[in-house]
Amino acid sequence: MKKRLLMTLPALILALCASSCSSKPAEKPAEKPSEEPVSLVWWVYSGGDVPNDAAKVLEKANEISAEKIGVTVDMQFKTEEQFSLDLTTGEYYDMTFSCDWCNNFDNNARQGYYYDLTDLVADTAPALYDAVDPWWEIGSLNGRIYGVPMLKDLGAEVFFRINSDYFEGEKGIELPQEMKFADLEPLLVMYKEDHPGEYPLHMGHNGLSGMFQEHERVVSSYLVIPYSKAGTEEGTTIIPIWEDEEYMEMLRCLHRWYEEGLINPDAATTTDLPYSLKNPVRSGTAWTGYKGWSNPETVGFNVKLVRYIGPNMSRATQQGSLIAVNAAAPEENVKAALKYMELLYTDHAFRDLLAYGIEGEHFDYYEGTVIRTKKGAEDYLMDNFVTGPAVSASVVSASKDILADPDQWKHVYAEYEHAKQSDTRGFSYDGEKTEAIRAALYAIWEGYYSELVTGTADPDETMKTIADLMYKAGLQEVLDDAQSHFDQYLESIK
Amino acid sequence: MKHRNLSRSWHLVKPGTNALLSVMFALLGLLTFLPVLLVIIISFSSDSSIAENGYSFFPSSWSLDAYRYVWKSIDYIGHSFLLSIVVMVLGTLLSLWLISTMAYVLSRRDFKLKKIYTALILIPMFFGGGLAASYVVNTQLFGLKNSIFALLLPPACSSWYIIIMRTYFRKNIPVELYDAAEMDGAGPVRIFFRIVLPLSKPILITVGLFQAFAYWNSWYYAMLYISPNHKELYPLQYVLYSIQRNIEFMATNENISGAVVMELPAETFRMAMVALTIAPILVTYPFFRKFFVKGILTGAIKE
Amino acid sequence: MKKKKWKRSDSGLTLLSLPTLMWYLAFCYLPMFGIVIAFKQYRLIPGKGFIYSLFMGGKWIGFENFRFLFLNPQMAMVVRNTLFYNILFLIIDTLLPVALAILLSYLYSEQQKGIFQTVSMLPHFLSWVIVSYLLFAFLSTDRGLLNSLIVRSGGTAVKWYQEPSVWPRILLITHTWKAYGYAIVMYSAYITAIDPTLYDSALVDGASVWQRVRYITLPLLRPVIIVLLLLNLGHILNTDFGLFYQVTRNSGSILSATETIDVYIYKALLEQTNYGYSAAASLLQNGIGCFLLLASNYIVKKIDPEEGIL
Repeated sequence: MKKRLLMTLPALILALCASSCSSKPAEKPAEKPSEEPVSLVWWVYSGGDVPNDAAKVLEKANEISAEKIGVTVDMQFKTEEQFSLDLTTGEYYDMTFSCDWCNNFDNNARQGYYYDLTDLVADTAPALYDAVDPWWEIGSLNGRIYGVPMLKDLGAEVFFRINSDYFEGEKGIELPQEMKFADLEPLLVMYKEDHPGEYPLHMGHNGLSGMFQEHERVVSSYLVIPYSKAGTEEGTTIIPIWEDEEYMEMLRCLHRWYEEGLINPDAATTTDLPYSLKNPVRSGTAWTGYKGWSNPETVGFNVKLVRYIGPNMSRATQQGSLIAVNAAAPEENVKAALKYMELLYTDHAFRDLLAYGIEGEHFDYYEGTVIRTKKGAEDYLMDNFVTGPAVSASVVSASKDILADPDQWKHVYAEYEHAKQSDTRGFSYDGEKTEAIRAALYAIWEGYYSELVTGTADPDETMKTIADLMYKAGLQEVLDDAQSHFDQYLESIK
Repeated sequence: MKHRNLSRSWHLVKPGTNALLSVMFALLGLLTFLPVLLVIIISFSSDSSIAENGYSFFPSSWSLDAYRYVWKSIDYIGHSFLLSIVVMVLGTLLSLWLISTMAYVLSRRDFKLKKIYTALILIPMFFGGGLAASYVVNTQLFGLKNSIFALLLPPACSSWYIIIMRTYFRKNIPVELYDAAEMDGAGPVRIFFRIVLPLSKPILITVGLFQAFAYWNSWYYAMLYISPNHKELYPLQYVLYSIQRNIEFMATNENISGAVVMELPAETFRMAMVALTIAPILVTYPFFRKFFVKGILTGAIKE
Repeated sequence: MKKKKWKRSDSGLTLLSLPTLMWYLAFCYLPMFGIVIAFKQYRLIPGKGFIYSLFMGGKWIGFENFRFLFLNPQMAMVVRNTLFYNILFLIIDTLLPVALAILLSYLYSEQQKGIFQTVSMLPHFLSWVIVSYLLFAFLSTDRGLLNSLIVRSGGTAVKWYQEPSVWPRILLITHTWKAYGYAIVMYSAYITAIDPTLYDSALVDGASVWQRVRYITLPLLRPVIIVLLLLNLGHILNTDFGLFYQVTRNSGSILSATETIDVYIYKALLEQTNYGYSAAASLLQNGIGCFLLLASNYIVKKIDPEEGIL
C-alpha cells in the first residue's frame, strides 16, 4: 500500500502544478475608475543584466508620474529573444521599445501589431506632438503614426578614432576634420613601420564599425542606394551592393591593407574587443562634437575624431529608438501612454531620473551635464535610449575635466540641416512576397560577409561568387519587386 | 599478481598488457585533459596578458581578477548556488523516477500496451510543437513563468535515456526472475522495487549522474521563463551567464565612460565560469563511482 | 499472434508508468498543435492569444514555408556535408567508445579507471563556444600554438580558418574529443553488469581474452549498440549546430567543407525570425529521419526480432 502511495506521488505533484499554478493569459485590464493611477506594462530593452537599483529608481519615478499625470509603469526588461517570443505569443503589453534592429518597427507596424496613434496624439499630448515635430515620419507608415520616435542621433556620421598622441604628438602630422577612406593608408603604414609586430587596424569579424553607412540599405544589407547618388537621377535606383563603386573601393583598400599586414590575419574569425582597444585607429558612428571616445583614461592616449562618412540620413539611421503602443490596448491606456511619453519629453528632471538614476546617489549635476558616481556606474548603468528620448535628457560628461557640451543636441540637430538626405523619403520595403528568397539570399550573404569586410578575401572575386549564387537563388525577383514598390511609393507621395 | 577484485579473476589480462593499456589511457587522458587545463590556466591569467598574447599555457601574468569578480557578487551567487543544488537534487530524483518506471514498463515484453507506449515516447523525439507553442503552453496554461517548476519539469524526462535503460533492463534481468516472483504473487510494482532497481545500480547511477550534471549546468529554461525582475530564481549557471553577458555588454559598449572597460575581466571570466562548472563534477564523480563499483559487486552476486 | 488479454500485471504496469505518461502529455503532446505553424503564415491577432491567432488567423499556405530550403543554390553541397559528417561520426562514435570501454575494463586498477573516466567526461561539459575559443587559440594564424610550432621548426604559418581541406579532420577530432568520454561511461555501465559466470565457463574452455570479448562481451553489448545506431540514424539530417557554426567561427572560405543543413537554416533565419520557416525545416529534417528510423528498425527486426526499438 505504501508503495502505491509513493508511486502516485510524482503524478500528484504534476497534477498539483497544473491546477494550482495555472493562471489565465494576461488579460487586458478592465476599465479603471479614474482616481487610481493607470498602470502600464512597459517592455524595455535590456542589453545585459538588469541594473541592481532598477526597482528603486522605478519606485521613485512612479511616485512622481502618478502625482503628475496619474500614470505608473511596470518596467519589464527583455532581451532580444524574449521580445520576439513574447510578442509572437501574444503576451500583453501597453508600451514597447521598438527599433530598426530589435523588435523591428516597420515589420511589426505593417502586420498591425501597433496602435494607430495618428488621431490621438495632437489632442491627448500636444506638447509631445510639438516636441517630436517634424520627425513624426520616423514612426509613420503610409501616413499613419504607429510609434513615437525617441529622438536621439538621427544621422550617420562615421569617424576614425585616431590616436592623436602618436600621430600629432610624436609624428607631427596634423589630423584633418575629414578625410577619405583611402587617405588612412599612409597613417597605417607609418604606424606599422614603427611597430612591425602590431596591426594598426586590428579588427573583428564585423569589420569596421559603421563602414556600410556610405549607402542606404533598402533591402537587407545587399540591395542599396549610395548616399552619394542622392539628388541625382540614380538616387532612386536600387542596386546590388557590388555595383556600389564607392563601397567596393573601400573593400579593395581593406583587402590591400590586409595583404600588407596592416590588418590582423584572423580578423574574419575573431572578436573585436578587447584586442582592438589599443588600436591607433578605430571606427565608430557618432555625431560631430561627440566626446564619448575622447577620454584618455579609457585607452591610455588622446583620441581625435576624423570623419570619413556622412552626415547621411535615411529612415534606417533615424529609427534607433521608438516606443510603440499595443494595438490591443484599451483607449484609456493608450492615452495614458501618450501622456507618459509627453512627460519624458517635457520634464527634464523626470527624464534624468529614469536615464541616470537618483540624483545625489547615482549621479550629480555639474555645469549642466551629468557625471555618474561610482554607485551609478555599478548599480544603474543603462544606455539612455532604452528609457526614452536622448534629446530631453542631460548630457553625460566623462569627468569634471572632460566636460560634454550641455547644448550638444541643439548643435547636432542644427547640423542635420546639412545632412545628406537620401531620396527614399521614408520608404520601407514590404517584402512579404519575397520572404523565402530573401531567407536564402541572407544565408549566402552571411557566409561571405566577414571575409569581405575584414579584407580577408578579394572583394571582386568574392562579389562575383556571391552575385552568381544570389541570382541563382532569385535575386532579380527581389530587386524588381523592391524597385516597383519603391516607384509606386514615390508616385503616391508626389 | 596483485589485484583488488577477486571476483574478477576471470577477466584478467597479462601484466604486460595491463601496463601497455595503462600507458595508453594515461596518454589519452592527458590529451583529453589538456584543453580543459588550458581553460583553468586562462581563468587564472590576467586579461591584459590575453589581450597582448592571446591564450597561452604560460601567460605573461597571472591574476585572480576573474574570481574576484565572482566573489564580488557572492551573496547573489551564494543564493543561486543553493537553489541550483535544490533543483539538481529534486530534478534528478524526479528524472530517475520518470525514466526508470517507463523503462521498466516498456521492458516487459508481455505488456499489452507496449507498442503504443513505445511509439508514444518515440514520437516526441522527432516531432514537436516548436518553441512558441511550448512557451505558450508552459506560461499560459501551466503558469510556469517565474516558478521553480520551470527549472524542474521541462528537462525532467528523456526518451533517449528511457530507451537506453529499457535495453539495460531487458538484457540484464532474466525473465525467470519475473516468472518466479509472479508465481509468488508479487505485482509489477513490487517486482520493480524489490528486483529490478537493486539489480540496476550501474545504469541508475550513470543516468542519474548524467541528469544531475544536466540540471546543474542548465540555464536555458531560466533564460526563457525567469524574468530579470525575479533574480532569486536564477540558478547558478544562469547567474554566471548573465554576469558574463553583462561584462560583454560593458566591454563592447562604447558609451561606458571611464576606465571601467579596462578593468573588466572579459575573457578570463568566461573561463572562470567554466572552471567553476567543472569543479563540482571533478570532485563528485569519483565519489559516486565508488558507490556503483560496490553496487556491482553486491548486485552481481545473485541467487 | 494470439490476442493478448488484459492481465492483472498490465494494470500495475500502467499505473507505474502513469506519471511519465502525464509528463509526456503535458510537455510533448499538448504543445504539439504548434506543428501547424509549419503550414501557415502566422500572424498574431493583437489582443488574442497565440493559440487563437494560430488557428483562427493567418493563411494556410501548404508547403510555402518549405520553399526557402530549396532556393539555396548550394543545397546539394550542404546536404552532402550533413550526411558525410553524420555517417562518419556514426561509425566512429560506435566503434571507438565501445573498444575503449572494453579495454578500460581490463585495467587492474579501479583508481586508474575512475580517473580516466572522469577526465574523458569533462569535455562534454564545455560549451561549444568555449571549445571554439580553445580551438582558436590553437589554430590562430599569428598567435596560435600550432603555427608557432610549425614556424619554430622552419615551416610557414598556415591560415587554418581559410583552408577547407583540413576541416573534416579537425571537426572529427573535436567532435570525438567532446563525445567519447561520455559514451565510454555509459558503455562501462553495461560492461560491468555482465554476469561474470559467463566468463568462467569460457575460461574453463581455454578461451583467450580476445575470444572472450568476441563471443561474450560484444554480443551482450549488441542490443545497446544497435539501439543507439538506430536512434542516431533517426537524426541523420540533424547536426550539432555548435560544432559546425561556432567552432568553425562561421568562416566563409571553409563553408564548402563545413556548412550543414542546420547552419544554413540558422543563417537564413538570422535576419527575420519566422517561426513557420523553422518549424517547416524541423519537420522536414525530422520527418525524413523518423522514416529512416522506422525503415532500419524494420530491417533489424527481420534479422533478429528481439532487437530493435519498437
